Amino acid sequence: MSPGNPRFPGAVLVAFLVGLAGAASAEESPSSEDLANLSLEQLGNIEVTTASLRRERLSEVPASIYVITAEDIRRSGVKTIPEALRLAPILEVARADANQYAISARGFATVLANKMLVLIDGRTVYSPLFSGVFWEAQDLMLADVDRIEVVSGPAGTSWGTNAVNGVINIVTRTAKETRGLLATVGAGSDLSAGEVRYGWGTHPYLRAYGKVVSQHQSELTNGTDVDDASERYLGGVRARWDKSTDAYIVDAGGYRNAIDQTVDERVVSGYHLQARWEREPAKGSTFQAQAYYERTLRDQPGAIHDALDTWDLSFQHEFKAGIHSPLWGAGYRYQPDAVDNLSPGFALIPDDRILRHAYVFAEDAMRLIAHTELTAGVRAEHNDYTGWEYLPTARVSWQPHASHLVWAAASRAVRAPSRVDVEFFSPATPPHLFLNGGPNFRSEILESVELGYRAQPMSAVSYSISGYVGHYDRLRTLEPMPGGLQFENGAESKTRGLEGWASYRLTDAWRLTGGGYVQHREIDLDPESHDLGGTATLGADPDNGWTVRSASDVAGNGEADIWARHVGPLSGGSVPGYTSLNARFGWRLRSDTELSLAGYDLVGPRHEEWGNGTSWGPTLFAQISYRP
Amino acid sequence: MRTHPGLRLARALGLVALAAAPVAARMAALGVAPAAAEEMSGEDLERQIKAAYLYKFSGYVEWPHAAMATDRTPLVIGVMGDEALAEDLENLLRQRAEDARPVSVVRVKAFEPLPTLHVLFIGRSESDHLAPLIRAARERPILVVTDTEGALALGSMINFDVTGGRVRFDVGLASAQKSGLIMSSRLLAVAQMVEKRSP
Repeated sequence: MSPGNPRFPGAVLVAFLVGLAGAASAEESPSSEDLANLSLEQLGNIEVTTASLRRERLSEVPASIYVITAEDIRRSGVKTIPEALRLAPILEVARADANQYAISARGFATVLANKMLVLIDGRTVYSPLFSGVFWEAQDLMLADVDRIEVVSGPAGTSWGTNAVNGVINIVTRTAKETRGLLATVGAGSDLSAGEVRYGWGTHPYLRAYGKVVSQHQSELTNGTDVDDASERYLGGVRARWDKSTDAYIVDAGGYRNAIDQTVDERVVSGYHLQARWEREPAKGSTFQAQAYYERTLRDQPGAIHDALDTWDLSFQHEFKAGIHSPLWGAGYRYQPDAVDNLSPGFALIPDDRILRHAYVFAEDAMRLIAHTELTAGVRAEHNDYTGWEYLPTARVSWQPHASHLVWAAASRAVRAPSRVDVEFFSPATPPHLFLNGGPNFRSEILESVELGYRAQPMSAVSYSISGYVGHYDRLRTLEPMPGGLQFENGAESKTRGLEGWASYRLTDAWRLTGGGYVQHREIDLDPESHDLGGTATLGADPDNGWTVRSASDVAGNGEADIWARHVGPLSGGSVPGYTSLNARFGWRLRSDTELSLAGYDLVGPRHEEWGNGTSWGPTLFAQISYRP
Repeated sequence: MRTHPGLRLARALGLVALAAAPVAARMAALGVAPAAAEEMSGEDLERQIKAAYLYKFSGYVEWPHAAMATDRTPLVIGVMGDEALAEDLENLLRQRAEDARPVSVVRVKAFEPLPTLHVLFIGRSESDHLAPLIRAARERPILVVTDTEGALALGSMINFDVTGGRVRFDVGLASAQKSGLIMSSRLLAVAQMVEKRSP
């Protein structure tokens, strides 16, 4: 059929105007009728502005990256962020109790792991108390998560200090993509959960959500119950306005998690308000600015009461100039932290403290010769403990064909001190014999080189493999000093490893995904170190791990997913290796109703994951989901 | 764009300043923000370009005779998971009533039986169910168009890609052929990438 009579003058004028202006404004906006008069080629030449403009093709990112998709999350049946992170075969995820996890990439995993940077919709969620994440305080309506990008390896230049071993970037869907009602309710032997979301409106697009989780207690290997059940509530609203070349996003949310422990319960709670402005001021150029306030409260009777306020302001700007694509930005974070020390056993001193944090960074992606791009950049970041830190990177990528990418990178990353590294004392009053703070503690440093290859040789097959060598210096040790033990920087470590993943779609209805890692780590104490903490306190890591997932659709309205996961023995010998098998079956009863039954750790004996006595056996979870 | 008739009238009468407040209030009540109604965002433009593509693709695709008997057979475009795009497409069609071939838009809900369709667009909000939705559409001669990275491997026939700041598309030629559709060489020439291997 004919796509209509071309009215050339109008069409050419429109193409010229939009081409000239780049981002169209009111007068120059082509009407939908004008657009229909353009040819396919002309449509493809109009520059558009979107908040999602930055979404790069995964196949072009010169780093080790794995993306957990919304479909992966839904088909796994999991209800919490840490459980969803198990879907990334390049991550170590070990569950320590009902609420706590040790999560890291490339080693150094502990429940207080401090070398990963975690963001939720642009908000940094690691705690400056120990530069790690309290996973018990992080939850989301998982059905509205668009993807979780997991970057392993140093990414400090773009993401900042603490992006030492990697970045976990959780991105929820835009309010435009979550219109209508979605409600799920589920019950199982590990937890019960209900969540509801409603999205409505245009300009602004709005979304409101709420989630309730009742987490059941865990068990020791000998069958004894652990007093660690919890009740969690969270909710929030999000709005998005689009105006000309600009988008404005406002997000507010809060949570409360009350966790049983032997004495009383600990309550972690908080709320945030975030505003974000994204625009494309000129062709090929993007600008983003955001501000947020967050309050996090930690009420741990007999131990600590902590109230942390975070005020964070940042912007970044990317533009194109010939073969160059520079990206630069700056940010400032102001964090008044107020602690009540409740235990005679330990204390943070001073109890009240203001933490300030500032950075500026610049990087440039240069297309040097055909198929080859060099990215070089540096970030200067200032913290109250060690002053200025520098985080450079250089990356080369060679893409001889759209479906093959070879990349190499050399980077330096820094973990800046946290309050626990410097201001933690035990007992609470002098003499602090067991721990006398870390007055000399400096930043931990990683220098690393990486090499990777990623390919999609057939449309149904894609894979990635990356290798790395890392040298960590000034790792934390516990040294005897006059006046008591102190945190110092007495250890170094050499690491090397390989990680990779592959995806193979055998048929329309059957996909296999697998991946894993092997890693080797040596920790050496400096000659002058008399570390009493033991290198095991730096992390307990398997030397290998893998996952294989099979996702198949059966009989038109059913889904069958099977998922095997293996973790090698943890360094230090606290946990022998184990393999767990999970399965989920989903039935679409009607177009708007889905029923699913999932089982985790279905075979084998109960096993520990973290070596603290808590063990895990088979659990079931049944859920019904309604989306009219 | 969505200019409120009240605002147009008020402006025509030179009453913008006087009328702005009540009009804004009324428009807010209708869920139309005045600022947004006046200007087109990049996101709106991107969506309208996709709507225009959806309209135009049919000119470069041949359906089996059973599905499209003559060049006057009404063309039906289904839109799933993107109400704003369905509205844009309707606006576009309203202004093109003179076309020889009648074209209509139907909204299709995920997992409900598909009506008679020639083109089906599946929006990003359905990306966690893409495989079964595409599979269901491929049982009939329907041109499946998607907006999600990696969708060609699931059997999509045309997948939009905005990574370079322009709305381009990749073509899954083998998938289209399997469904009995013939794509013109012109369409293949404009495509950013043509996947000839069967997923």
